[in-house]
Amino acid sequence: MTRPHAYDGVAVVCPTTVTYEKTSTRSAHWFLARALAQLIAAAGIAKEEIDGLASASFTLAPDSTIALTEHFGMAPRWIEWLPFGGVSGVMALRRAARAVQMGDANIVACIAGDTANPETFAGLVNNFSSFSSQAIIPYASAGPNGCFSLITQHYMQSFGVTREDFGRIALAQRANAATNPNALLGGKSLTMEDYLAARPVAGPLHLFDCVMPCAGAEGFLVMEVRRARALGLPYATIRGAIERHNAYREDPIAVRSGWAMDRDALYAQSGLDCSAIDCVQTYDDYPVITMMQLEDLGFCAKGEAADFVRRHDLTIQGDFPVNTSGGQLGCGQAGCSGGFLTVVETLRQVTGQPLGGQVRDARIGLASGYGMVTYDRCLGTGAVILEGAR
Amino acid sequence: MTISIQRCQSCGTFNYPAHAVCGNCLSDALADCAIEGRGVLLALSTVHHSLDPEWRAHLPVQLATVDLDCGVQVICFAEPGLQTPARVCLAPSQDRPGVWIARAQDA
Ligand SMILES: [Zn+2]
Repeated sequence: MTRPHAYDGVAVVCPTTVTYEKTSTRSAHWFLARALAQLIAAAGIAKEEIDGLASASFTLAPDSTIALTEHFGMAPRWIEWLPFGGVSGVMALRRAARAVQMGDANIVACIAGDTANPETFAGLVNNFSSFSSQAIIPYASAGPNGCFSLITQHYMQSFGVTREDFGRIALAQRANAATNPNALLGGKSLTMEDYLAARPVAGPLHLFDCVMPCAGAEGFLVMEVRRARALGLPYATIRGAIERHNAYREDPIAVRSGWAMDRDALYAQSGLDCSAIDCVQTYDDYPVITMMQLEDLGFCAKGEAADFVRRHDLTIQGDFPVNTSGGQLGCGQAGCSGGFLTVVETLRQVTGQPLGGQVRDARIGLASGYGMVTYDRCLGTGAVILEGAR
Repeated sequence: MTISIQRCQSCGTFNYPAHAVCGNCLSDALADCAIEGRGVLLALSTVHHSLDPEWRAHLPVQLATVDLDCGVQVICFAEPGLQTPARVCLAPSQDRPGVWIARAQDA
């Protein structure tokens, strides 16, 4: 495989979050527009200076990024449309970084936003992919919970994992959410008794293993380092980034995903190993997926993530902070914003701009992405290592 | 009892869910093929919640992942009393047309 070029000279700035709401009567356009307006305000630039726009949304239909240029009154020379859910944030960052590096755009706004009401989630699930329409929905329309309950049951049996092990992740993230005013569940404490006694959803998955769909938006800007410095913005540089789709199709049920295929490339490009990472944001649609990421990204061996979470404190003050915003389990899942949350929170931590608690001396963070279950597993994986340069 | 799975007429690969072209060789020479539906039950889950209101009266149901001997993986229903891993056989459901149910495979 060709070694990818370094991301030299590229800065990621202005982590932004549009307040999450359980449901909203506003459109996805509104949430995306708020993210853009907040980015412009945070950077202290004119809207016209943004000449690249990458967006991600599940509820913008029939519109896409190109329609947003008209809604937002912009004439960008570079656009990207990435409605790829949990992997959209890493994908947006990688593409925007190359556009800036190559001079195809000076400043790229990367935004993800979705609205939510009782109809949007069911409508989304019912029309998510041709394979699921054909082969998943006839089987009780359980949505992603059905598929991930099977993956979870298989993982638990294969590696001797218990619900308490998953509960450790859920409890740590809920504790992290408590400091984040944007976390919809931040005000509600969660004990292991609560976790274990929650109502069953599917197989080993119970209420607190599942994210709460909500409305909201996330975003960041990508520009040259010299521009970020001139604007006086705290910024992060990209030490390494990976992406993979449809990895390990030969595995009859998912026990790993694309990160395992590419993590060596990630750390080689970064010139780091995983001991250098100060905080990790995993894509946490379900705790089992967080465990898979800890394994596949090299923090522990396959099958050892449960032991890893028993031995480490995943809270902001802990020895291995994970999902320091509370993650989607604590904040809610605002559609494609859930895929941006890992990148935005990593950027917040390494540049000292958290909404909630700050990981002490965080300089290097890893953001992971995982998205798009079109049949029996998510297809897309990605990860990026950001280094803060305050 | 047989089930029908799409098979590539060029390379012999089974494709599930049904593809527009073969996932192995990209041929569009695809045809439904009747097979016995034998395989390994890899995962089981009892579903308590559905997004479809019509389903709610029929819950809970058992959902399963079966790795068929022909090389495809099927998410389907499962009869009560199964445990993972086990040899199973898929059959069309008696009560629900168009879906399959995994049953214990006779030795
Ligand atoms: Zn073929």
